[in-house]
Amino acid sequence: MLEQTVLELKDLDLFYGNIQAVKNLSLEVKQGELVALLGANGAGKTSTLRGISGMLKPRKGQIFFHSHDLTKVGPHQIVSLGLAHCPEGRGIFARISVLENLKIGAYCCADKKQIQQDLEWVYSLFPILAERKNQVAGTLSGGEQQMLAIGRALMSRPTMLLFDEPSLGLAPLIIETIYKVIAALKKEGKTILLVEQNAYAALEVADRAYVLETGALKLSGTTMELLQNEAVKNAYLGG
Amino acid sequence: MMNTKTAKLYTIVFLVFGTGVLYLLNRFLSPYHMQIINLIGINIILVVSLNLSNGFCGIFSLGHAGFMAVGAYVTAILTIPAAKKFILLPQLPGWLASLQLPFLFALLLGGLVASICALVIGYPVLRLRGHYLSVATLGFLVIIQVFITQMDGLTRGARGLNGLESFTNVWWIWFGVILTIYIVAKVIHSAYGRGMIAVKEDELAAECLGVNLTSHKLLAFCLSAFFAGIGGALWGHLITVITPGSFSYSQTFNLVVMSVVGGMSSITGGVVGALLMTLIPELLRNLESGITLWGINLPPLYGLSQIILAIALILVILFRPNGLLGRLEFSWTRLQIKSLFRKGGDTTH
Amino acid sequence: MSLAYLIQNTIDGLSLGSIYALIAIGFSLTFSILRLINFAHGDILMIGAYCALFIVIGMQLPLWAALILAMGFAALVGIFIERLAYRPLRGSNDVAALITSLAVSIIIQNTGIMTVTAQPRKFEVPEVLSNIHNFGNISISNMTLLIISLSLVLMIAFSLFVTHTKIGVAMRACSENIGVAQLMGIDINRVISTTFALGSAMAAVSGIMLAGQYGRIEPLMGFVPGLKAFVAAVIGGIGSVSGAALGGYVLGLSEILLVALLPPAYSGYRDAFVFIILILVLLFKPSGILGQAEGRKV
Repeated sequence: MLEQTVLELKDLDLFYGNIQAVKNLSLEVKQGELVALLGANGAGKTSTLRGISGMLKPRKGQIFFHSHDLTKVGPHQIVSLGLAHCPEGRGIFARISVLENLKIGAYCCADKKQIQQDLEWVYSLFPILAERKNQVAGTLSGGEQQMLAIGRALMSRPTMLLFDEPSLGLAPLIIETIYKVIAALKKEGKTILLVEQNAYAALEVADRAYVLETGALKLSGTTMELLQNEAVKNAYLGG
Repeated sequence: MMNTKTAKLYTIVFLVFGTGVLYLLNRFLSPYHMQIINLIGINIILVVSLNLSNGFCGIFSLGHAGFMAVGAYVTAILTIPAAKKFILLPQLPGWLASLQLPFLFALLLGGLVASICALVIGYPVLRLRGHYLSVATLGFLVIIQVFITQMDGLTRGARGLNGLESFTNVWWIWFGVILTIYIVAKVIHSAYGRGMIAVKEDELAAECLGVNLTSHKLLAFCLSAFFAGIGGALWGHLITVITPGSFSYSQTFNLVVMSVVGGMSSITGGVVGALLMTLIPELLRNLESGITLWGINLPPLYGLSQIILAIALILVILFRPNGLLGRLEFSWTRLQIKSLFRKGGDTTH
Repeated sequence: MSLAYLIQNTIDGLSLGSIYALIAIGFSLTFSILRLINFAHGDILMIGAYCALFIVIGMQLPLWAALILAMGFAALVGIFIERLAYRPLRGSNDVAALITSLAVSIIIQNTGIMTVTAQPRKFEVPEVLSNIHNFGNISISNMTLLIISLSLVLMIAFSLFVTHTKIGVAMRACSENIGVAQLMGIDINRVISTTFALGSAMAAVSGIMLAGQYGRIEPLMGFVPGLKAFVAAVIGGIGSVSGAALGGYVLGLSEILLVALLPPAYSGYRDAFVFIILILVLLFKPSGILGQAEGRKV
């Protein structure tokens, strides 16, 4: 086996108070792979991502990123290991400028020259952000905000990215743009874990996928296998 | 299991027994100790009513002392004999100067005026949420204090009203306690009360289910203020002196401590909190005036009891965030089940 | 009413407003980052004033040196309070945090009463500061000038800090969304400690200014100004630094001008006006002048 496992979840249990959000979940993502995490509303997709990036401490189980056990690392230290999380609902800082948002993405990076290079790179991916760099981020449109959120995640020079529903609430044309960028990132060699309700969009770019149902793993397989699976077709692809 | 009839019987027996105990205590206890028992009663009235708004309805009010002040001043002004008013408050308007009501009426009017204040202040303020509401009610307390201090002709300002008739006695207070608990329990167990609790649990959901938010909150707030007014008036006529300083921020704080320590969402919790947090500071008060401990003279430490209360409060919040009792309520049935367990008997019959 | 009278009161209002603004900035930031009404913030102001007094009397240092040392001490107290009382509660409900901050405030006030007694003390300022300049019917003391200018300098410095330093920008990010800020690699504990330190230092300065203005201090002196700073923060729009400053000036000016324009009999109602203003603002523009409306998540 040539591909190295980058992210590995082992028997993960996540809780909000007494409510269990994720049950005994194990999954892995290999170097350079784009893996989709699918499921209905409330299936535990977002919770899984929150668990990976340290926002939600697991009650049981382990999370390995390369050789680091993420359950033992502070949430703010995870980014500097090369794992960036592009959160649900975009989570941009609406009251500060686009440029400042991007710079916050590079919070862990001390090298000003490198930040400048990365800015140029993000602007080349999303030219609209360069145009609006001095604008307060809250004035951007939904699609532009999503681009900003992705750009901001890229500013930390991650080797792996977590995307949480990047298509949420966006027009089809903009979804297409966003997914083009995600595909381009994969081509550049980034490892990606993508959470989506929009299964079609996700399966179009993904190599493999996991399907969650009420917090537990229900199915997994390559994109081809899942696209042909009757259960998936009925539940997530509209028959 | 015990049926409601037996429970009612138990309650009556308990009340009769309690009356007897109070009678005996009143007869044989020193005035100092009796005063503590009376203060416990007044604090129970205040805390149980505070729990109605803060705990059951989720309106975290910090204005309770303000309503106490309104009740105390209104009742005092209505009961001071005309001759005395002439000297004490010469600037009163004629009709008020000659008015002297029996204590009961004055007390009820005091409560009523307090709840009218709650209505006026509550209508705008209760639309706010969380922190904003707490600070706005604290603002109301400041407003009331300023008004009492400034309306010299009516209240004698910062000098306060002294030499009030000591109408309040053990019977007034403990009858008030029983009435407060009874009414608050009735309200909570009514359909209206369930609406209030729904408002606390989830405002939006309650609204969607057709619970009229403002009216529910307003009712809880006004009723709570009514009993605060009564409690304040009873307190005033027990101590016989009231000044704006009697109803300060730290008074509100003491009530909040009692409420949180006992459990905000429980009537029994309110009673337990009032009991504990009246007794403990009373014991600590000896420390404040300086005592000799194991041969060491401790200097007077004013403020120490408040510090200890505050630390107790922080510890309760950290380790028992729902208070000592949480949501538990006292009931005869539960008591019986427990005693059966103790005897090792079965609980099936 | 003469123009001079109006100008005089405007200047007094500006001076009071600058003091409120300094307190409000720290208050507003801790509220927006932690959803915590820090009732103890006003008491830090008292600590600052006493600290300065004891340094001036005990160590015979000039007032400016005492000011700097008091700022440092207050900053440490602020950090300490956050560590000890607020951090263990982070993530629990809003009411728990509110009650804890009430308790902390009571602890500070009563520790004050226990150690320095409830008796007010004289707070003397160097003679230079009491000098008064007269311009026709308008008189301005050096103290007033110092208050207005020093606050302005501190606020400009603070706004440069939050726009031009990494941790300052992180602070603004945290005040919007502390969870996402963490995802960006921001160490929120460091940001929160910094916020408490700076907020407390500015509160200490305002405490010393109040002490210098009124010439006396007592352990409960911080309570009402602390609450008023909250009012100022709400007026300006919670969470925005410039909003808090603006709210401070608006509140200070309206407090002084209301008293000046109403018949003298009403001047005692000053504190009541402030809270009536609060209730009116909360009713008609709860998001404040510069704030953004807070959505309810459904």
